[in-house]
Amino acid sequence: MEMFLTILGVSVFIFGLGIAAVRFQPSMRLESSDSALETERARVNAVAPTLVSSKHAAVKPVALPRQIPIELLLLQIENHVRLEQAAAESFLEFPTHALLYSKTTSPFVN
Amino acid sequence: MPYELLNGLSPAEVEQILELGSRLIVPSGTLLFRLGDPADRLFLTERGRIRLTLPMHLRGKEENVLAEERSPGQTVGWSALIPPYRFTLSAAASLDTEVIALPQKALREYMAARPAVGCKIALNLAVVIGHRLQLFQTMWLREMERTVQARSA
Repeated sequence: MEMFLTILGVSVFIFGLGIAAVRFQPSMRLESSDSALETERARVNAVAPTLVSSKHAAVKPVALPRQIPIELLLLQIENHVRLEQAAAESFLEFPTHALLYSKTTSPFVN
Repeated sequence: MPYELLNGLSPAEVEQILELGSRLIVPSGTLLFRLGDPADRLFLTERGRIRLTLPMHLRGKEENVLAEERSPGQTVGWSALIPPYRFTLSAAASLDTEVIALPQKALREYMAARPAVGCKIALNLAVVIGHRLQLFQTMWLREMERTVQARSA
């Protein structure tokens, strides 16, 4: 009976140790990967602190320019070319400083 | 129809030159030649309108952007008389257009056989090229001025 209780006690102890080991292992791994990540982040920040965001750096939202349809863009370019040619023709017919640098109404550059 | 390239030539000379070529109908939107093509013909615009374009990359796509337009009486494709005889722009009709296509070889032979006429045509061509040079020089200067103003603002 004593032998049986001893064996049972040892078995329960080993079983408990196994469960504890299984539960403890992921937290060990997480801890080690966290420290590796920290090391890597520190190394990167040391090399390029302004280019790579650190954990304290806030990422600024990028304001994307509103894209106009490409057909409209092409029309704007055409309109701009025609206006510029007309301005250049005026200058060539009567060359003055004022005509050379006359302001354009082209929305492409305004 | 007064053609800028044939300015100062007698009616008989104009007729002889026109007989060297052939009339082409170019429907609206049809390509006459592409940038880089061998310039084996020179065109006199009879009616309609020709768009001269340059390729430009817009949002990762190649688009033909207007560089110049040619109206009746104007010359298209003078690269046919200037080395390396390759078109430096693409040309397409923006309206139903009619042109007279003068073969480069026939025109050069005619000019060589009649030096006085050849000289007049060469001078007219210089006027056409000179005008384009002045036009683009002015446009470039205006663009540069805007760039400088924007940078120094």
